[in-house]
Amino acid sequence: MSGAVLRRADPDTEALRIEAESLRSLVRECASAGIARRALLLRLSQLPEDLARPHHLRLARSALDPLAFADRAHLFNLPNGDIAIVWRGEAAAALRASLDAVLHLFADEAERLPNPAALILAFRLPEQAEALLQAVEDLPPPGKDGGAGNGSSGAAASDPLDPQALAALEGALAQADVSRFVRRRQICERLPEGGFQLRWEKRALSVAEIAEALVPERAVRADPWLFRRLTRTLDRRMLSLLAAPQELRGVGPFGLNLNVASILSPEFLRFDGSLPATLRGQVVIDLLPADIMADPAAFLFARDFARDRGYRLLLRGVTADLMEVLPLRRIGLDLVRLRWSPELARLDPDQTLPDAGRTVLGRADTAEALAWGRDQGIRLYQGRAAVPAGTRAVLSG
Amino acid sequence: MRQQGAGRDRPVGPGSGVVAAPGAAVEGSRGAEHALQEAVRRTARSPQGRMVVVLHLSRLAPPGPRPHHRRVARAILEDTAQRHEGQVFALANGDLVLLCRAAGPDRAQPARPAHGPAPSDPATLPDALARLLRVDMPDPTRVTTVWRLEESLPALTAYVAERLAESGPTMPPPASPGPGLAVQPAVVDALAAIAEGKAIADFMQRQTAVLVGSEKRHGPGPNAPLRPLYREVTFSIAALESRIAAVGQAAADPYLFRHLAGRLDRRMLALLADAAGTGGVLDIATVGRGAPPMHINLTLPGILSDSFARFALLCRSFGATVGIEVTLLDACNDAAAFSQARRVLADAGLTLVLDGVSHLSLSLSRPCALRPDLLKLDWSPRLPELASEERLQITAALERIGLHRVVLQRAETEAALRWGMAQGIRRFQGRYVDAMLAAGRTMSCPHAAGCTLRQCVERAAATGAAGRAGCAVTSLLDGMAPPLGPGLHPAPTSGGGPPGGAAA
Repeated sequence: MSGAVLRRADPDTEALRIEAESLRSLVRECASAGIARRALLLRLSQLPEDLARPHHLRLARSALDPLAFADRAHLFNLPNGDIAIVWRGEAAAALRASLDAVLHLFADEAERLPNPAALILAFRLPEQAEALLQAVEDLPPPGKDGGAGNGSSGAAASDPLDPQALAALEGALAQADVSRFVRRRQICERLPEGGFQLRWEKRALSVAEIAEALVPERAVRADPWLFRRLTRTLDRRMLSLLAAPQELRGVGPFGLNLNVASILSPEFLRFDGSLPATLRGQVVIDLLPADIMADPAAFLFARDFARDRGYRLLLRGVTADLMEVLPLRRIGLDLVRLRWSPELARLDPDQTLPDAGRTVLGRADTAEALAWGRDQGIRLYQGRAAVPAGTRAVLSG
Repeated sequence: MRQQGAGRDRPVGPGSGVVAAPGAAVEGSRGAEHALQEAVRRTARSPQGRMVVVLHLSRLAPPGPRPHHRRVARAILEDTAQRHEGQVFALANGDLVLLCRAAGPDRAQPARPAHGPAPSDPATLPDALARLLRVDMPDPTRVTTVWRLEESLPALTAYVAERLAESGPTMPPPASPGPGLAVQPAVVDALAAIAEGKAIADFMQRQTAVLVGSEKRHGPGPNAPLRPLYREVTFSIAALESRIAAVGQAAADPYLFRHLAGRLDRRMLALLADAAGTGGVLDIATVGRGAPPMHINLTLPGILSDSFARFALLCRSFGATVGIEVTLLDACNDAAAFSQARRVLADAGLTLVLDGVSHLSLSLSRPCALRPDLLKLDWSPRLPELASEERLQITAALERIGLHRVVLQRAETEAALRWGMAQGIRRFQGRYVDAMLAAGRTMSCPHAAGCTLRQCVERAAATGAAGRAGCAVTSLLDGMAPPLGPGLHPAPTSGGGPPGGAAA
């Protein structure tokens, strides 16, 4: 695998024009020589003006980070603000992660951007070379009508999840076999001598795949609060799954995303009752800041209960903005997962992480993220750039 | 407590030692109490090495004991029961009683794994339970009672006899996810639909916050004036719930409640846009005619919406300074959106108010980092009872924010005002303040003899004509005449207060 050539947007129009021409040349070359590539066009020029502020664009660009490590990945900044990325092979997981990140980024903006999926066009080369060239040529300049906000692209339109659809989905989930939707991610420790060692494996249900299977016509993340409510239902299903006989036999240290209410649920108590003694003290529970603040009294109760039962607690979904508002020590959790973004690298260099020894750097998909983490003294990573050397996880210690 | 079906909602593992009231479908049968009485009688024949731990969940102040208190506590006691030949009795008043063998020196405890659960020695239970319940029952001595049977049989017997003699309602079993959860989305959807309908005045309310006295260091005296700071206009969730007989259900799930809040945003902005310049109760422009500025609650997507941009322009055109209240929960859910919303409000010249800050959330977070113009701290009767360390923590947090930016809300009692005053807080909102303002109005109202204080409070809270019917001097309801101080003596109210109650 080789890292992408991540070129920053250059204000010089000429440089961008040359970059666009490089893309066209590459596409034409693929077409003429029959070279197989995948390509993705992120049409930032189609964002409504108030969603095209610098931080939106920055976050949207970082959504492509997972693809940056795809084989032979090349990224192109185009004159109208769009970004194209071309790579070899399928890189299905990275593609999915990028798509999810873009959709998630604008999930709150259903009113102004009802169809964020229209921001993304995916191509297979050489078959769709002409379509890609056409897309690059034909895109209207910024500010013109016909953008993604009007849902005019060929992508399937999605209605946001509403309470009735949520209730129906929760009903369907109660009957569905969700075991095939469990996905695992590895949290690794950077070893002093170099390389990474698996510390624990995060288990989570793929919401995107569940939604595609059960409510393909609905955008489940469109309303962030209905989505959060849905995660409670998913928690209970996950806990029931793990409490099944033999499910955890021979399993190594693992982690779960849970809501506070889920830790206090009958399903958790059953899961706790079925947890093998060897795993006691080897399970990490990830909590979200908003979930903690939604019911602080329940959080404090759940935190102390989980601690007494030997669980380690991690605060996830922490961004640079939130670090100051929710200091880890004040919340009294064991670990924090800080989501990598290039913004972190631009923080005041004198401002160091107060809890680097207890920080997991999430979305560590690039060498840039790893380098920043190393400078901060971070040992734990989750992401495509932190690849374990072994397969046996060791959590304790 | 009513008995659960076999294997249902059983907290931990098979072979549970829990005894709930048998035949439990009949409330008040006191089955668990009878079973406990029988077990005590049996054990009394050979009391050596036997002990009882009573977990007094009945002592938790409402809304406690919450279902998770009972569910988790039962699981913990049952775990100990399994290891120490014990039984758990779930009594009708909510108390849980563990009768088990005490871990003696001859009974070796299993070694605790490095990160394992606490040892299950029943003697350690009181500490563990007190720590777990300290938020809800700060006094650890009230959480549990431990009786060793060979020494304290009379006390235990008396306790059981008292429980048997009680005739109060049986504590229902802890709610388990199921039908209750399943209907929550439909309830919230129905509530939003009512608010989105036409007949809305009955479902809106307003409440005035006041500055008591001045910012002087030593605080106000008995005749300190009350100066209205702002008037918060909200949808009455209680009224909406009553319409569909769903009292207390809107906020049963905090996430669904935030979804509801988002839908109410759009309605609120539309209503205020319609009312602007009409001179009605919902007119943002009334501030120029002597009424305090308006506060409304919005979600972050609401503030970042086009509707809000139009509303902000409207405020500018009327010269209205409206306070926008954002919950701490919303801010923690999307800090980037919060920063963006703060910029939007600053650009529009509107006040940013951080709402929904409880003393617990204040102890977990640093809301001062969000740099609000005002912060609304929820009053809780627990505040005066906090341990000194927690009290110091709250005091330090309030000082970091700036006491001149703090409003103590839900100030329903005189105790709330006293606690706030002692902290140096001068801004208050709540039913106690409502009553003080109403008392002030009755002193200067020529028609006061025809009304009760409660009527005056309710009419001031109403936004529709029907709710205000019966008041002959509605300008007083709208705060356009000088209110009175707590001592009910007329007092001067003029003076340059901060706009919208914001920091001076």
